[in-house]
Amino acid sequence: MVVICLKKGILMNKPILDEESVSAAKQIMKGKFPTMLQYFLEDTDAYLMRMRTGMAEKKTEEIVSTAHTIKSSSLQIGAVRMSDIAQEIEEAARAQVENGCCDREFFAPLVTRLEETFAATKAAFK
Amino acid sequence: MKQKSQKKRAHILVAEDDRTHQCYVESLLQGMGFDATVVSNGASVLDLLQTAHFDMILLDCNMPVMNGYEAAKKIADMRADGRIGDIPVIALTANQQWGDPEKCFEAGMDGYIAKSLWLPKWKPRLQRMICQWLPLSIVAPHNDDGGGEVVNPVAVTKTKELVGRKFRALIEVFLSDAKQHIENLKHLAQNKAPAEEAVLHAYALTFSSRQVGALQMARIAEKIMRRSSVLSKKNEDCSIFLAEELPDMERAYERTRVSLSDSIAAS
Repeated sequence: MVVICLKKGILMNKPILDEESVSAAKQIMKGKFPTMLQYFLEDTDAYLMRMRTGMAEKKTEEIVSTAHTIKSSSLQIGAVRMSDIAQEIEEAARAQVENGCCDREFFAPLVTRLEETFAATKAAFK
Repeated sequence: MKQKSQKKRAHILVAEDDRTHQCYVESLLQGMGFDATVVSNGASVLDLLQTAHFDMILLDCNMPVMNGYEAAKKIADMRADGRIGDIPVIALTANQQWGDPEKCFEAGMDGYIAKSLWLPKWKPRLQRMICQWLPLSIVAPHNDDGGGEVVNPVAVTKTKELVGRKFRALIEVFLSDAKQHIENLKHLAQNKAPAEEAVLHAYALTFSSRQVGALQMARIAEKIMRRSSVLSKKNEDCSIFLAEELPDMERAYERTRVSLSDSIAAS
């Protein structure tokens, strides 16, 4: 529990967006950045729904796979806090897959935190 | 009269299911001067390989329909029976678990790029990694003098900067090891050894030559490596092929030795 609290503390210190990554991505993408952002926002909504379904149905592999995708796509677009939370969920879910369990109560606050951070990320991009 | 070398744009096939990544990777590769075709699963890769030529395949590991590992195994079969050329297949993955690289290599992939490398600020590092795996005919095309540059002066300068006073020792080790690999290849050719035994020597020669900027040697070593790899999958020996290539390699070695010795003297 101590480890989790410490990690959350670190996560909260990360900015919602890493401005350097965002501006570099805009430079690389040139005119296509708005399209990439639109894909990111639409698909993350869908991934979060899948993650919730995975929790409800105790399909831990589904939580691993969606968290894994969010971890890297959010990093790509500069949404660093989201990426860290997604990584936290992925690692925990992988451990639970190995132990053959799915502790919904454990994931619920982390997924809520990810959803809240996603909302903040959307707002930051506006 | 020298003609300007015609640099071919490498065509890279990318399999990636996430649209954010697809969009990003395509722009990134195009910005690096490559042509990119992006599909969303391994099955589409196999379909495209029937009809189009690619210089490299980047495969995401976790994809629906057919994942990267399964696709890589099927591509390895296609390479082995000659349906496609020896195209490098590189894993593109966000997996960070112990054993993930091994899993990729077991599936027949040639290399491994962590997806975090797609991060914008790491673009030069990524570009270098991709170029390491691209065939040299694309990265450093031949000039019209028959063999192309003997050494790449930029690479030699960078190596000097990197290793400082150890440059002489590095070059001496490179030349000594390279000579040994060439002797080993000659021995294999004389004994009609299985082609798979030539692959490791050619591989070591390719990458050590690239590291010190010995372009001509790297180009010939890479040709031997790829050809030996194809022959080994057919359980054939390498004697005829090596007998044709090794005289060129020995001449390239001698030119490289002279050129690098000049670089040592100048440093």
